[in-house]
Amino acid sequence: MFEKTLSDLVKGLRSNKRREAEYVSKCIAEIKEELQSKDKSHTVKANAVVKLAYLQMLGYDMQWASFHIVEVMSSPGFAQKRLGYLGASVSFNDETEVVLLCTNMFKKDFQDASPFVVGLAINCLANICTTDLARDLVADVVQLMNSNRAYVRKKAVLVMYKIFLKFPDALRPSFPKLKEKLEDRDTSTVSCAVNVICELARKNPQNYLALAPIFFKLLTHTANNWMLIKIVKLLGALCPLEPRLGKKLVEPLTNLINTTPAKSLLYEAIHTVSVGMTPHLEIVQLSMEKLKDFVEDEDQNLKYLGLLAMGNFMKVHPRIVAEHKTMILKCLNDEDITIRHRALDLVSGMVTKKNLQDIVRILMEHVDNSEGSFRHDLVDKIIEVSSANGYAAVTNFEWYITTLCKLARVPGVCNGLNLKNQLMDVIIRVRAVREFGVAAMVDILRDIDMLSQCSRDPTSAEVMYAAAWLVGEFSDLLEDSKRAGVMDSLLSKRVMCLPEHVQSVYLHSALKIYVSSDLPPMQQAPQVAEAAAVPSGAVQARPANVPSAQLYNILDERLPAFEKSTLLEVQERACICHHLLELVKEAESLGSETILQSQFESMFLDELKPVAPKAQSKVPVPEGLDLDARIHDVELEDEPTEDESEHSANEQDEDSDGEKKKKKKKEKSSGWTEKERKKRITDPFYLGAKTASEEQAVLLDAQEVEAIPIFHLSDDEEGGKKKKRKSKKKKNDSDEDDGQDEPSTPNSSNAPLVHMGYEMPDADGDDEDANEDAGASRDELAAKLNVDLSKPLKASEKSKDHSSKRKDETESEEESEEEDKKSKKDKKKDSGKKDKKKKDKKEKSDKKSSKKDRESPREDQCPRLIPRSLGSDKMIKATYEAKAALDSNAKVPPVIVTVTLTNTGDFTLQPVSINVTTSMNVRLSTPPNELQLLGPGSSAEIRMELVVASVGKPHKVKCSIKYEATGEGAPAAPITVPCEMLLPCSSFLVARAMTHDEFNSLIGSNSTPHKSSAVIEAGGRPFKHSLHLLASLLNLRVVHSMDGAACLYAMSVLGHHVAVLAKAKGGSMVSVDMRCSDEALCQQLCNEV
Amino acid sequence: MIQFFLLVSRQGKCRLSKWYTTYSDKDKKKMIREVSQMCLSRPQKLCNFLEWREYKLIYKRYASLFFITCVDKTDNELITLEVIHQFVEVLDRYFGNVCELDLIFNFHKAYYILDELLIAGEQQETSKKAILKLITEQDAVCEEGTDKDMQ
Repeated sequence: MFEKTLSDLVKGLRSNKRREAEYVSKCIAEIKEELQSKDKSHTVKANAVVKLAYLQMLGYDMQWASFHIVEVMSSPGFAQKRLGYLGASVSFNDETEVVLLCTNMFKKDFQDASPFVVGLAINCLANICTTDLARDLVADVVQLMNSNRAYVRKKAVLVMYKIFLKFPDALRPSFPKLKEKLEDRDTSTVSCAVNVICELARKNPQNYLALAPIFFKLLTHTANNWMLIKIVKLLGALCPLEPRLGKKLVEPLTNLINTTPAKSLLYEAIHTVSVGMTPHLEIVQLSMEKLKDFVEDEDQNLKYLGLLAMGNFMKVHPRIVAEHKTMILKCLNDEDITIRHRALDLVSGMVTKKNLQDIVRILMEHVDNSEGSFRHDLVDKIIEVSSANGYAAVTNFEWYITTLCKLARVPGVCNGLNLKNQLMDVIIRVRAVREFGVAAMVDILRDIDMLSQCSRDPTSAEVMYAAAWLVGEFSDLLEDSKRAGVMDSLLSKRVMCLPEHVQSVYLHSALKIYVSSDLPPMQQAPQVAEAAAVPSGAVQARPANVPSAQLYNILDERLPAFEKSTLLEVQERACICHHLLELVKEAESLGSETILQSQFESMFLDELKPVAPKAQSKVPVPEGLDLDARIHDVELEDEPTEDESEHSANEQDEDSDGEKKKKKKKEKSSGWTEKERKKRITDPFYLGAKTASEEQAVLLDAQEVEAIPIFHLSDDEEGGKKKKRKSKKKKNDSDEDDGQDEPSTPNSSNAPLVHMGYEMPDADGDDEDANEDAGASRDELAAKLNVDLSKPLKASEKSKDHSSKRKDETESEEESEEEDKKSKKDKKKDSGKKDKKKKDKKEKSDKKSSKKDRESPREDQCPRLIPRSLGSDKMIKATYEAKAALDSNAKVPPVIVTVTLTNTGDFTLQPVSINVTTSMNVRLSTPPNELQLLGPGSSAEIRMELVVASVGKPHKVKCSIKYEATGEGAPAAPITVPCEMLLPCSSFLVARAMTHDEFNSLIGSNSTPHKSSAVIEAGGRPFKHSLHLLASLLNLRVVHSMDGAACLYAMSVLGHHVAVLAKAKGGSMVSVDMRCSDEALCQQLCNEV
Repeated sequence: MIQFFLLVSRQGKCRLSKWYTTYSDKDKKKMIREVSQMCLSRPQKLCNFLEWREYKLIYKRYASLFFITCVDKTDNELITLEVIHQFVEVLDRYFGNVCELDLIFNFHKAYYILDELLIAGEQQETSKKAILKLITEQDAVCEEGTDKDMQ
């Protein structure tokens, strides 16, 4: 009875503030004693536990007492038990060993007559549940869900969620019970069941679609706001997967939004609209109205939520959100950084060509007024909105470069790296602004403030890097008068405080400037002009050698200092540079400087272009080079491992052990290389060696350079046209004032070209890999809980007893056996399918060889185009037709390709899409649409439009059909069917009407000089039919026809004339004479005939 | 789902910490320090939400105490505030005009009340009255037990 009570402890702590640690250690010693004491009712121990729990909250350890806590938990008195369970809840974790002792206690307390004891046990389990506890107790908790006390039922329902998290296998067998609880008579229990299912469904919504009707019913029949919120949230998670649900929800949610006084429910409803019901414009509009009220509300919380939800709408309906531009920008002034961040997020969706400069101006003002991380975010945002979609919104690049330079000068901006990348990107890609950009870079280089800023903010040095590099690379754009000044700042003493890589670039640029200015006027004019598009007159006017002598002197004078640099790279570059200078001196004395200078000039003649990050993987590994082969076999003696220490322990049995050791070593070394190899695969800096077949594929790829998807540099007229067309389209979509403004902005029509291409294309394959990786590393937990609940339970799963581990194991063994069998079967099936595939291929090739026979049809009376086969597999079949667009206004009419997809398998396919690999010759003007759903046996069409660059030969277009199968037993991963589309020359022809006279004059003129002819077999058909067939096959139009002869005409998409004269010959032959303004086209068409 | 529930005094002393996800003691300490610093340093009148790691902190200040919860990004912020408020109201009615000292000397009672409000990070009871009734009943059972011991 002399122990300290909790209040004594608390009071003691308060009076011993100065020497708390001392006091606490004294108390803990007392507590230890109390816990050792023998009191039957555990009153003393319980008191000790509660004191410990208090100390634990202050940060003292109580893990050591866990055994005593279990003792107190098992005490008969409710008061003591309660304290014991409290101690366990606050202190036990996954590593606490005594948790194992609790299983039986839980089982016992679950059966207790008092609901409060059961409640205590459940509460505690929810806190300390481990995988073992979950597995051993799930059956008991499921039992508790049947309890006749609502108090126990609701607790049991909620704790199930915790059990699922720890032991996902429990989900399938116990889910039906949980579902039952949705219709419980007690509303709290229903609400708890909704909570649990809502949490589960948020992780794997696809498995809970079947429950939608139940929740829909609950939504319309309950008035409990707490629960309504959860239901609305859950339905929101389901909506994106089931568009029909969204449609059904429009009405009840509209009601909710309009009537509910509870802001939380209103917000939840709007949130659901924003994630799953965006196609329903009316409710979107309504939600945006409400959100506007939120943002304008005095309550900061509502303001934040309003902006947050607007962010969701932004992804789908940027225009609707952009209507509130002023209001959102105003929020950037808010004193709350959380709100400012949300407002800033919204900015990116509001930027258009028209308002970019305005928005950036506002953001710049904030840059000046804010500090810390928010300033950083602002700068990043400015860069993000300007560079989005290949600088789509930037019409004035001089303005953009000025902006970037201004940002670079803001003190304490830590975005140097980002700014550097932007400056280099813009000035390299946008030729029109290069000269301006170089001048701006010179200013930065010569800015002494910038240099001193670098010492404070290391990332500023990156901007200097960009400036130096650009000035060096485009040194021919430098004004002569500035050269000496630039050289001076490049080699000034203050440069030495910059980081190594920046100094190196400085030196290199200095050399470049010297070389470019040292050219005699005669030689350089044509070449340099070609390399960098400088007006050649300006270059020739430059007086040779006068500035170069000056530059030479600066270099000669300053380089020695850099040669003494402690930084290796800097030292090396300085030395090389200096030696080159000495060569010049020598050459001058020998009088052979002209030769030397031309050599010098060729050093930096080639323009450097951006290289795609993954271009390296396109470079084939030379034959005979095995990158995995080890150059040097090392005995692996790294870190002494277990088996070796083990070995030393059992030294008596040396002989056999020695052998073992060798073996182990062998294993180990091979294991090591295996590990290393795997590591290398993921290491981006390693070139992977490829197998022979892969290598060949790569080589083939390299040969088919034309087929490599290169982004087109659109400096030709065609590209410009395309751009215009795009803007026209936009105009149609956009609001009226927007549309009127766009063409009227002076710059929009002649905005400088941005060359977004790369020297080498990205390797597509790698991209896919990366995507897969990202998919694999998805939330692990969610993946574990991803269980198909619609499947009926297996007998093994129905067994309620999870408590015996062994049984589980045997079960899982059985299952795995079953699975083995299954997989074997699948394999068999697969091989069967493979055979089928082969057959398909064979058929395809047969088809190709017999194409000629087919194309001269014998049997059909009314001839029609036969769709070509595109590709097929066990689930899908695709055919396609290609035809030039008849009614296109575009200068180059696109070829419309219609792919008919037929689902030949048993699964529902969703979504089905086609991915087209474009090339130099074939571009996509309208990408293929995506099929949301393709039921078994049904077929649907995908349309796309291609623009071809030449019509002289048939084009092959590589594409792939990608789909995902859903349904029981369907393969989980998306399937890709690679295929190839052949566009024959006839698909580039557009039938045009023409009078007979026009036709005659065309033939008469020399605009169709190329001739070819062919003879086809009519197969006993009347001439009329043959003629019709010819016309529809080649897309020709009959100009004039009489008995036994006809003239036909068409124009290619590039404007070539094709005139055809068909005559019936004796027997069943038809002769076709063709005249064409393009030779290759003529030949190809005849071949097709 | 609520990840954890903290009660921190204005001086940064932890008055209650309930964890619905298991962390090691070290992590817990670190998180408490980090989270309470973020919330305590915020001026009043700003919004009650903070983005933190992959979660959100929803906090509210009542007199000298900060009630802080950490929830998933997808959770409804306003309803979490309601949960906090409900907890405060139950405390207030249970202790009768609750103050920090009540919670210090009866910290275990606060845990009991919270356990009737939330389980596994989910709300189990929405009625304040029901919670109060349950707690007083349980207290009565405790009293009985102690009385018996005395005899």
